[in-house]
Amino acid sequence: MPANLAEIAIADAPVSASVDIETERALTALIYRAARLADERKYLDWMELFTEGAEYSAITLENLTYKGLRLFRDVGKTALYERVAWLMGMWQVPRAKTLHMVSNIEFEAGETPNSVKAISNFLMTRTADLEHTVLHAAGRYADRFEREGGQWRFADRLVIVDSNLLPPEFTELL
Amino acid sequence: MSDVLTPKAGLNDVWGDNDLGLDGSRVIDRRIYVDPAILAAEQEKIFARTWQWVAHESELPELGDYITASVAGRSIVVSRSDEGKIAAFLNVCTHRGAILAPHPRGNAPDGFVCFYHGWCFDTHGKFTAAPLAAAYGENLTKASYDAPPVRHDIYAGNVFVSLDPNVPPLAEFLGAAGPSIEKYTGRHVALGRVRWLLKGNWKLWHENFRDNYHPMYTHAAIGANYQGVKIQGRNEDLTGGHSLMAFPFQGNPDSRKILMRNITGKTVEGPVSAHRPPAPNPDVRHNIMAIFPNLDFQFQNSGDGGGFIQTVRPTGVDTAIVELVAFGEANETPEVRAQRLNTTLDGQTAAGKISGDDNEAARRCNVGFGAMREVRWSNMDRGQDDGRFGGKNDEYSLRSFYDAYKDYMGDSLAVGA
Repeated sequence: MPANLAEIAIADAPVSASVDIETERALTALIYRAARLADERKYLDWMELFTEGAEYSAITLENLTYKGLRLFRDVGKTALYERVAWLMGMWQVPRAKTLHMVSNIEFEAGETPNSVKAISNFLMTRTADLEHTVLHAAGRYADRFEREGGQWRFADRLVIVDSNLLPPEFTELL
Repeated sequence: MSDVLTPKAGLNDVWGDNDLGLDGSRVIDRRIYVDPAILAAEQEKIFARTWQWVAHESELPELGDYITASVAGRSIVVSRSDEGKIAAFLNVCTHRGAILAPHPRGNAPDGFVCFYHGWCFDTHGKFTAAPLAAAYGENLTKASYDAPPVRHDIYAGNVFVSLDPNVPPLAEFLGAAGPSIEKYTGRHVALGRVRWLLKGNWKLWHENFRDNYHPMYTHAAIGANYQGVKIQGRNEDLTGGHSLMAFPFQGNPDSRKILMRNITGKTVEGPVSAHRPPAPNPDVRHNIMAIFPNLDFQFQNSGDGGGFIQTVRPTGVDTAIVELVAFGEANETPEVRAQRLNTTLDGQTAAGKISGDDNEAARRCNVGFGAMREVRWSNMDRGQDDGRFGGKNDEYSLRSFYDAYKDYMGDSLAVGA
């Protein structure tokens, strides 16, 4: 596995420290909120769930275990804003209704009390105009959260896409 | 130059009787996007008769490394054989027909064992053993049971195969495109692949690479980028069905910011990342080179830095698979490599800020072709200068493809064929 992606392998690592139940609740709500805001196309609100220097990226499973070639990697609020601008109209691909289902969340304490890592599984459906609902994507979120001023936000979200053959319209928020 | 690569006089007339009043070399008959019989002819007359890119040598560094590819309906194995050379053979067990290599990429240093009845083949595809072979008596020696080898050759690290034993030599086939390929991939390594489905005929994707008229309209970001800019660049037919579009890095990042603000209602601070500023050296060009029939390169003209290549292969008359392979320079620093792994695909693939819309263009054309009987002809007339090149937004590159296309397809394009 490429060194810069090694941090996601928390499922195989021993749990170094427990995460208290209140933190788990808060972070679970944050993960669900990100899914809901994506599905409701509230992209600007979605962006506010990330820290100023946050990273949001995606990679196929095939490349995760090869050399680490990412589909995209947005670093910092300006890059996230750019993605949001694309979602809101820079892309001419019509937005479709999406539905994210997130489960199997596992938490692991980070290196400081204000840092936590998590992995979770997601399924995402897409319903385009006059088309039936299709399973659009499945995979794993590898998240790192930071707490600032009592508020938890995403500091890093890596989306690992299981399929090595992407559907034609893959511009929805994963 | 082989006859195969040279458009034959008169073939362009097959589309001469069109509704647009244009020369037959400047129109496209939309029947070629929707007719299953034409797709079948393309598979045998084009995909089975041309050189097909299947891998880069850097993807096969170790003994037994293999990649599988589909060419004209045949699954093909390309492997690093025991002498360190590249071998290519049909991915099929000669016993009952199951494929030997089941994965897109893998490693089989001891060769391939068919999972069905255990027949064994080495890294060249040569048949080596069958379980309980005594039951065949002497009959097993009456024919060759090797997986048939496939003609292959390597150019600047790129492994090509051809199903046609009479195909011209690879260097001849590549013709004027060869030196550029050497620059693009000769000192580079592959960094990974991404593939996606296309909702449209395979030619729509390849045409898109040869069409620099569309970006300002299909891609809002590029349209904004060119606001107030006198567009430079060249669109060239390299002959043999190959073509090159070369243009400097131009643009107006402020206009893109304005567009983003108009769309989102928010003002962005600082430089936007998805913009490449004008290069300080005006000789630096972005090159988009298309190799007949289904291969594209996007690199800087010098080959410095990274880039990518793409193939598109039909899976039906209105579906295809596009496969992108990203490249970096072999000797780049770890920091540069990391950056390249993170950013090369930002505009590309079905998730890309640019290509996302190209996929949509194919989908919309595919739907529009439902009116093929009423609106049969596509205009391919941009660029009126004689010769083989014109401005960036002209269509010399596109006409180059269709000159060769008609040549390969021959009478398969005749009405009623």
